[in-house]
Amino acid sequence: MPVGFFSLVLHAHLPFVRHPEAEGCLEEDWLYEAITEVYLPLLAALARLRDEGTKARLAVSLSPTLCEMLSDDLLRARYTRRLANLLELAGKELARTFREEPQFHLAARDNFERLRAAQKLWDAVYSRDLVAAFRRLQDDGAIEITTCAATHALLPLVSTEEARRAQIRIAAANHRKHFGKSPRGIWLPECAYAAGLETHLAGADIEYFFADAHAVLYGEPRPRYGVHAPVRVESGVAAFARDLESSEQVWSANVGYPGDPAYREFYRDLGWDAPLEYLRPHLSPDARRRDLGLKYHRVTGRDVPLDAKLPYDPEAAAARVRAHAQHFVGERIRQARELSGVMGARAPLVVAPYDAELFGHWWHEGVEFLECVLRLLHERRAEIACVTPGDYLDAAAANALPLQTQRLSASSWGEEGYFKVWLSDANAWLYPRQHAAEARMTALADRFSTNEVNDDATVGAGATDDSASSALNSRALRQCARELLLAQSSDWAFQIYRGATAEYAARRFRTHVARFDALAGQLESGALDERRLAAVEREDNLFAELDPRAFRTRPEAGA
Amino acid sequence: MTAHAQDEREGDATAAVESPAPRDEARLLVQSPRRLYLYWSFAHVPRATLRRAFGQLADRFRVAARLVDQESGVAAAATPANGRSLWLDAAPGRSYRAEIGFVAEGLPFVRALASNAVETPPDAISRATDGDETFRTDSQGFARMLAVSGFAQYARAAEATDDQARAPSDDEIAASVDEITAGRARLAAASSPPHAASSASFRVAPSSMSRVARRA
Repeated sequence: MPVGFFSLVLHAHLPFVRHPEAEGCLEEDWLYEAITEVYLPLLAALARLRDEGTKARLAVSLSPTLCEMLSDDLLRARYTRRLANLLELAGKELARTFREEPQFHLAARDNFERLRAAQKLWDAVYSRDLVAAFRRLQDDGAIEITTCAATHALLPLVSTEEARRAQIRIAAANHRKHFGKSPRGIWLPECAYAAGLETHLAGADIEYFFADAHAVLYGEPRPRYGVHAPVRVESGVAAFARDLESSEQVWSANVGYPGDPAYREFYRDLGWDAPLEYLRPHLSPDARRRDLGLKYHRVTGRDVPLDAKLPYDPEAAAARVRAHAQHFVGERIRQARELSGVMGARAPLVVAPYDAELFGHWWHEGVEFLECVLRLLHERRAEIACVTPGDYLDAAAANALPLQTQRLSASSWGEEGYFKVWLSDANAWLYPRQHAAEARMTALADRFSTNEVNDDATVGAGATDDSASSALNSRALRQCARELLLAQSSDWAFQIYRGATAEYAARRFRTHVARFDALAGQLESGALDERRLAAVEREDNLFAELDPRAFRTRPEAGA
Repeated sequence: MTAHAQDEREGDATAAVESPAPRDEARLLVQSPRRLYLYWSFAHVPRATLRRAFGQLADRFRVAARLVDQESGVAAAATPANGRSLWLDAAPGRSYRAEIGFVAEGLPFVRALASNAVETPPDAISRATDGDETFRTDSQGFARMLAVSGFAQYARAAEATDDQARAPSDDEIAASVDEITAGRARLAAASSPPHAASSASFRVAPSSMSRVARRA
């Protein structure tokens, strides 16, 4: 019997950054970088673990916007070209460093090998379909996939219950489309919880969600087991709270593993170091410098300036990965032992959620670390059992283990623990516009949504004027819903708060609200511009399955 | 023409975003246990209504906002509200509604709009223990649990609240809040990517997945 349980949770999300109007768009790089550096290596690592019989399950949250982008033909074609182009550059670098800068040759080889492996995985192993690859891992019992809100809206700042409910229901429907079954769990964007959300989660048959530690610690009544056992909220949905200690070991800039001097330095990149003329064939048509993911230096030390960073040595970094994984697993076992001393008969659960993109992108060696951790956890399964939240709930039900019922505290895992990041002087201007659209969307759905799903299929030879008009209305209504959902992405408020890509984020928000307003006005006045509608549909083409009844005041079953 | 290009061309569509159709609305949002955000709009210029009601006295009125504690019914002093939004101070674990209206010296507050009600989250552990024996815990036991979980200081405040035998001192409560804040601050350091502190002066990678570095 293990001393305790450990639940690793990876949340993978990117905002919808599909720009058909501009190949080479800087923001699409977010997706391409993540595919190369995070998702492909992670899938390969999880497949290796599965194939060697490692029983160390984890939960992977895949946001609907990410799933939609990973399934998009245009983006997949662009990524294929980008990867080939980058591999060509990495090949040139292999030769150049051998001749001119041998101190960087090991790093150049690491870059090249990783890109070559990525290309093989992308084309030959996964046939460019990463959603299917994740689904296979779930079907094989290696992972449990959870969903997220449809466009990662910060739900406590959504103004109407209808709009909150729609974010959850549309996400659940999207999950069913991609993974063939309903999600058991959901990652509330930014772990942002406020009272009332649990009703919508229960309404979508979701069994559990994740929250930050103080959601439970400040909850009422006091949590008997602190953050080391899930609790139930009023609707019966379970909440799993984040363990701070395991988070800190990975996330902290001061004491976290990724700051080790041997690991690869994120902020030195060939895209900024090499002569522009040399890079030009490998940049987008605007020839603007950008990160390329080809890096040659190691962290070296916390206070070492970037121009004094030393060459990266992949072997030395690999040794640190093994040491850090040993330390991490050892600490979890120690933690479980200490907790079991105060938890009586109840075995403690340590929930460790992270952004998936930390591993492999910000922390170059992060995926290798995860693989090592999972393998070690398997080896030491007699002491600590690696489970998903679903596994834990199943075991609790099987053993008639009750969960404490609690009223959770509103919270998030953002700076200072509440909603400051998404509601501040910098970004508060978003909300009057977003909220107006939310109220208007429900009015539109009440007025125009029919019980015929995808009724634009009626358009065609023989269709009456009425049915054609109704089909056009239906398309416009769905597009209104897409524009509102895209405007609600918490990513825009986050980026505006952080300031790094604020202009892009503000433009995206304005564009989606403008498109919503224009379409809503046309719909209300009966003067739809089909050509204009079609153009917007081509650009913001996510959620083909979207059912706008989700926004109704009283949605019918199945909406 | 792509929809994007058309959006760029259609200045009117963007203008609509900048000026949503005016309606009578006051909305209150929770930023944190101690901070609320209020925004409002009027469908029609309210001064005309004031003139009908107060005649020439109407010019003495100024727009103001006030926060009403839902449980006690006590309204805070009205704050002059010159724009269309306002940050308001609040207390943790309370229920509030905001009112937008008009104030004039020597005259009572005239309410024009009332907002939605919100609840500020608590910022300390609850004194309530579970009624179910399975989950009931005395403060010492709970404090031990917290201490092992990495909330040592927090645990001391929990212990002090044992069955409400003694209310925690301000110092104890402050200590518990400090501990949580310190814990979050440690993690907030990680809201930048690893070792960002040493690199931030070089460049904030604009081409990278900026949304990734956001943990606290």
